[in-house]
Parts: sequence; C-alpha cells; structure tokens
Amino acid sequence: MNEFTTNLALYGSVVMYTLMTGAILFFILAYRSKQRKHIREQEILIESFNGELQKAKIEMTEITLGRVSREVHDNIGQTMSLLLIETRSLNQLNDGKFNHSLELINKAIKDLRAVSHSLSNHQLELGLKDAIAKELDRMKQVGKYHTNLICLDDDSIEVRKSDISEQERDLLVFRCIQELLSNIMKHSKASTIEVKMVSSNDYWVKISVADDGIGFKTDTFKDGIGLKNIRDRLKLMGGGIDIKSEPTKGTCIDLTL
Amino acid sequence: MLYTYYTILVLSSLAGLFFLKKSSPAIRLLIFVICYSCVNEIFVHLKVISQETRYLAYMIYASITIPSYLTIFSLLINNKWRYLKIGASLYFLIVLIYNWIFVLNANIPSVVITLTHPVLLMFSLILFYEILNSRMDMKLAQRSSFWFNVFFMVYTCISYTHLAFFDELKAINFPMRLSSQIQLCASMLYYFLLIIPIALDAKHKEA
Repeated sequence: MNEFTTNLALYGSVVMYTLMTGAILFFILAYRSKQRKHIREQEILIESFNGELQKAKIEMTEITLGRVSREVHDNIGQTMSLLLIETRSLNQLNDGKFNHSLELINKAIKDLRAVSHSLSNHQLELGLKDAIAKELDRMKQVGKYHTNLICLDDDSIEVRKSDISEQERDLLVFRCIQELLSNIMKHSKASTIEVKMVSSNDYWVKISVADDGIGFKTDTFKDGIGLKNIRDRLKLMGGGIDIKSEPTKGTCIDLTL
Repeated sequence: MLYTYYTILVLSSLAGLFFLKKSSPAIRLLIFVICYSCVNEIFVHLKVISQETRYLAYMIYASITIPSYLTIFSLLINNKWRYLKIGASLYFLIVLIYNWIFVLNANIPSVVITLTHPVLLMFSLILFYEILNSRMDMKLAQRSSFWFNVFFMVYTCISYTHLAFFDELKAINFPMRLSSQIQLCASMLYYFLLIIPIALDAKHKEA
C-alpha cells in the first residue's frame, strides 16, 4: 500500500507538471493565434470604415459640387445673360470698345457654363469616354493646348472587382482625370495633352494622362491635396497610380482601375 | 537564504501596499495574502509562535489564505461560473471544518492542501479560458491576471508536490532538505514575481 501511494504521488506529480506546462503553453499559443485573428479583424474593420468614410466624403463633395454647379448655372449664369441682353439694348454707339465688352460678357457666360458642366456629374450620363472627351474639348477651346484622346481595347487585362457600382466608379475616375488635367494647366506649361484609355471586356481598366510639359523629379516630389485625393479615390475602387516624369521630359500618369 | 526570503516577503508587501489604492479588488486581496504571509513568517521566525502552536498557526494561515485565493479567482472569473464558485466555497468550508475538527490533532499538514489545491488549479485553468474569451485588445504580457495565474499555477504545483506528497517523498528517501530548499526558492520567486501582476493591475487601472 505504501509503495502504491508513493508511486501514485510520483506519477501524480509528473502528470501534474506535464498538465501545467501543457496548459500554459497551450494557453499562450491559443492567445497569440486569437490575438492575431483579432488584429486582422480590426484591420479589416478599419479599412472598411475608412472606405465608407471616403465614400461619404466623395458623396458630400459631389453634392456640394452639384449645388455650386446649379448656383453658377441658374443664378450667376442668368444674371450674366440678363446683363448681356441689357447691354445689347444699350448698344447705340456700336463702337469697337462696346463690341469688345459684349464679347467679354459672352465669353464669361460660356466659361461659367463650362465650369458649371464641369462641376456637375451630368456629363457622365453619356459615359466616361465622352465625359473625358468633353473635358479635353473644353481645354482645347482655351487655345493653349493640343489634346488627344486614344481608346484601346485589351481583353487580356484582368478586370478587378470592387464593391462600388459602375456609376460611382466612373465618377471617381472622372474626378481623378479632372484633377490631373487641372494640375497640367496649373503646373506643367505643356502644349500637348494625351489621354489614353484602355478597356478590357467593356470595362475601363487603365487610363494614362501624358503631357509634354516641364516635368519634375519623382523621387523628391511630394503629394499635394489633389494627388492625395486621387490616391484615395483609386484606393476606394482597388486601383493604383503610377507617376513617370523627368524634368523637361513631360509627365505620364497611369491610373490602374 | 531564509533572510533573503524574509527580505523578499517584506519588499513584496511594501510594493503591494504602495499599489494598494490603485489596485482592483482581486489584487487587493492578493496584497493582503502577501502581507499576511509576511507577518506570519516573521512571527514564526521571532518565535512569537512557539513550536507547540506552530501547527495551529499554520492551520489559521491555511484557513485564511486558501479561501482568499478562491475569492481572488472568483473575482477574476466571470459570474457565469457562479454555481461552480458556490460549490467550491461550500467544499472549501467543509474541508476546513473537517480539518479543524479531525486533522488538527493528528498533525498532518498536507490534508487541507491535498484537498483544496486541485480545485484552485481548476479555477486557474478556468481563468485561462476566461482570458482567452475576453477582449483581445491587450498584449498578453500586459495582462495582470495572466501573470498572476502563471505564477500561481507553477507555485501551487511545486507546493503541492512538496506538501501533499511529503510522506511519499520521505518514503523514497528523497532528500527532504533539498525538497525544502526547492520549496523555499519557489516561495521566494513566487512572492517576488507577484509584484509584476500587482504593478500591471495598478498601471492598467490608472490608464
């Protein structure tokens, strides 16, 4: 009996130590695995939240732009039209200066309409390609730029699926192109602008915007608000941006959608 | 070595008292256990407790600390285990009463530990389970309850082997002096390391 209890005590101790070590090791491993899973879930949650936030921001921007566009078109545009009519009725002298003023008012009305159209998303009703073509036309009318729109089809490129609708996607891409064109006008001193759109299975998969302007060093370049917005918009639809530029050799920006 | 043990006990008690105000109820009880252990050991050393009353002092010590550990676990574990908590409390009460009535005069120190520590170890495992099911927004190394549980588990296993199998170890001619030294080292380390969960708990509560 004594030997039995001694053996029981010894085996009991061995079993107890093994169980204890096993329990602690198992717990640590299980906790780590669970925490990794928790961190992954948190990251997904944060990403999804940021996406929703970005969507809401863009929606708000669109609403604001729409409102500004309506205001410009309905109020300022109307006032300018009335001003033109009234100025015409005052035209008794018919001299050169007066006609020049009339031309200026006409140009202001045209510009206002163009701005109004540019701000609203109605032009996308015709499709992304036509909307971009119109935007390029508007730039051409300024008289400083030669513009070129090239459309290619390459079904070998894989189409990425994203959570956002096609309409939302087109709007995001359109705003990106507008931002890029605006940057060209502001900084590039370019004379030629070329937009190349590549589609695959009826989806736009890649758009390149190139100019022959002054270019810049990409390694020292820092994103401004406009480029940051473009990156955010593209991220929302799972796309990316690639900037190629060299001083005096122009810039080419590829948007992968 | 004994004086190192007393020094560590005093240091742990002082550290515990330093963090007392910022501690959660479970850790406050743990601090109380450390302080009580410290006082008890010093009293034994100063021979305030005589050789004759030493066993009685041990019985009082066990009757206070063992239910205290059960209460600590009860405070750390979710209330969904309440029936288990109540059951364990009743079981501990019966064991302690039995111990006081029948075992006290028999001078067998291991009975109360043999019967209660497996239950405490079970609660220790439940606490691990509870930690696994809690929110994962804290690193494991920053969790006060994790460190307390690990130290308690290791210490309890060593104490259990030493005290519960005291006679059996003697029977196989195991050098008891070595066993006591191991037990003393384990106690030293245990009380010293308990400062970690106490400090972490205070830090967490402060944050």
